[in-house]
Amino acid sequence: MAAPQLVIEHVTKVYERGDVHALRDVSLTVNKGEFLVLIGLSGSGKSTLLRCINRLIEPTSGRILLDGVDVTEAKGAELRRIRRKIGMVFQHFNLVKRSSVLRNVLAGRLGYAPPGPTLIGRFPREDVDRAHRSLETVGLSEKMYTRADQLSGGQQQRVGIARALMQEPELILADEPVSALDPATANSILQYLEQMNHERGATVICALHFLSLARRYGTRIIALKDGAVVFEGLPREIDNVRFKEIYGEDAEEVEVR
Amino acid sequence: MTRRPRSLSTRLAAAWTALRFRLPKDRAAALAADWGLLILLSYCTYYLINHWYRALNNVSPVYRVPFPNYAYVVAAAATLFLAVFWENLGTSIGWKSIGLDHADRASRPLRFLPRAAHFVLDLASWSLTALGAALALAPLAGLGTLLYGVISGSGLMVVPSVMLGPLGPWYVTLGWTIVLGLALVAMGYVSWWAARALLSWLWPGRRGATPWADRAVRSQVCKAADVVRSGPPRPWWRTSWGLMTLLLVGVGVYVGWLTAQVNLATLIRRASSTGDYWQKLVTPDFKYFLVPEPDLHDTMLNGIIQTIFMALLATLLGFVFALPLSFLGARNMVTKNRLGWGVYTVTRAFFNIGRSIEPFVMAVLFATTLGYGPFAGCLALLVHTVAALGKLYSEQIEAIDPGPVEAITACGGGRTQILRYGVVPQVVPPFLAFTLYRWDINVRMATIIGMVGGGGIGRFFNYFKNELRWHEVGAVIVIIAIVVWIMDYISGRVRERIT
Repeated sequence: MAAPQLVIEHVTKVYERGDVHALRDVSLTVNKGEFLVLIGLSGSGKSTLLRCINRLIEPTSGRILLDGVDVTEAKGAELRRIRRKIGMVFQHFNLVKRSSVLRNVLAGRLGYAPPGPTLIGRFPREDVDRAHRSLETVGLSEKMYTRADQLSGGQQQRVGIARALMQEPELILADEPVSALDPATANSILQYLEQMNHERGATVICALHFLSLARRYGTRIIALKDGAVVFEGLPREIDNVRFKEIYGEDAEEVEVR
Repeated sequence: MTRRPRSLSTRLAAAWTALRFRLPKDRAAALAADWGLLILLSYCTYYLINHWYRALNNVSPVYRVPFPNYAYVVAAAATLFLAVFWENLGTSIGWKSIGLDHADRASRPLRFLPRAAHFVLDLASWSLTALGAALALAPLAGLGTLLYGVISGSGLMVVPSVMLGPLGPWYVTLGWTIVLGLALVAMGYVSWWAARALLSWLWPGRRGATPWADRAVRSQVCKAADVVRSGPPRPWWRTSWGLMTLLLVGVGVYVGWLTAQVNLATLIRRASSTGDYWQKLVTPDFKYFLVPEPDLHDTMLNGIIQTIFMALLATLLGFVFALPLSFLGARNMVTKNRLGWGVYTVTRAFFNIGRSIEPFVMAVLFATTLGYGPFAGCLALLVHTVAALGKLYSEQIEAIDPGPVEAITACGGGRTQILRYGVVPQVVPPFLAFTLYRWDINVRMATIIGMVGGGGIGRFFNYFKNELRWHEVGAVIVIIAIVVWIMDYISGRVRERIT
């Protein structure tokens, strides 16, 4: 078996303010091509873990290896080279609301494009073509010149996915990509992620709230509770007992189709 | 568990943080507000004592009741005492406005006895803090005096000479001055540090934990909304903050009335005898709007155009300077490290000082150096504009949605790219709106600046006023009013469109 794509070793994160342990000694490995789903209550450390992988948050201790390269030690240009291989999809889309859809998508290419011309808003021809293709993939070609805040939530998230596509990512981090969307839209967004997973072979690590969605899309599930891994296994292995362990005694499972 | 080694600078920073007084900021701000209000009240009392004493004894208006010098120190201490008393046994204005309240560990309102005990401990805590701060700052004030002596060329040798007598040649005296100054500073910091050490020895606890007075009586300070109360809240006029607000407003208006020397009798008596003047003002004479005024060699139209362009130039240049500065003055852009904090503090200080000096005052100062004319006025406007716009801009930058910044960072964008694609698109429309608004303000200010020799329409106003040509003064007022109204209208409409 080939070496795992992502190795997380004993990662701990302590927020100085308030003395909060967001992650407690988390270790896990992710293989190429997996669709890994993180579940857990709000505040269980899912977002923190995802952001530690591309160093939007600095882990307090521990090591993260991506394709054998230590992410936690990377600095400056090297860190940016690592980041551009990792696409990220956010809960609140994180688009520039006043900019056009095309501009938002092109921003995904900033890690590759020459820095000088991008400062005056110029991107290479092939990047613009790539942006057109990405928007076509998510079915938003007509909305190219619309301001991002004119779109619906689902459309905005599709722009977010098109932006991640621009990076030709080997790994996609999705931080509760469907929490702000209605169930029907949620499914279509996750299908886009699945498509990237299947057709482009990108590994996906996706934080989700709904277990039904996790079961449907995940090839493997990891559950966090109070910053520690409490379950790791296949989707079908989560039964009612496991569910109560993860979400607490009073929790009832809600179905989303 | 592997622990990444911490660099020396991180460790130094942590040590410094541990050393610093962990004053809860909200409570310090609330105390400052309450103390300030009570000091204001005590000043009003002082003013009224003087006023009533003079009125009763029929003495001259310059007579002052002779208070001893230490009365000021007593007043400062007494108001601090009252402020702490007020905060502990009632709900003070400061606590009410920040939304704080005392509660026990179970978030219920605190009973009387713990409250009283907390008052005593709080008083001790704040007194020690105030004393420590005074001890630490006094030497700085001393150094300031010495520096002032050096700059003004007068008082350099005064302090050591008075203390030690003549010390010989000037360099010996200078040396002693420096040694004494440094000793003063050291003394101040040592005493401050000692006060802190004493406190933490008396009530040891984790750093950043609840203040020691709270620990001692097992209480907590929490948000007022989180306190579990039984029964409805009191109506505001039965609370201490409500009554105090009424008292402050009442006393404030009364003392304000006295200081402004409001005299309605004069207003009525003089009005009839100045009928001629008012009549001339309301019949403006626009002859010199297009015809050059013989003494000023210029038309009023040129004057108002000059004013508008002065304002425009000051606004545009102000935009150019304020734009880069505003990023240095935005907390979320620069305060990643200590140097950043320094830059932030200096920039913000410039913004605040620049804004607080009226362009009118600056114009007078610049006119003395540069000569009277539009250039001095423009420069004064420019300085004020840079400060005011810089502050508005940087607050806008601080209020941006951090999401896009995060997204661009995650894409592998560099620092300038994050600025260009994550920050700039978010702030450009509000920046334009602020700039237009500023142009509008600058036109108004430029008319006033003209009156102290800044050129433009204000020059006409000043000249006609001195010549007592009230018809023309009336015309100038009408022109200014119309232009300001139009500018206000346009900038308002444009702002509506772009935000």
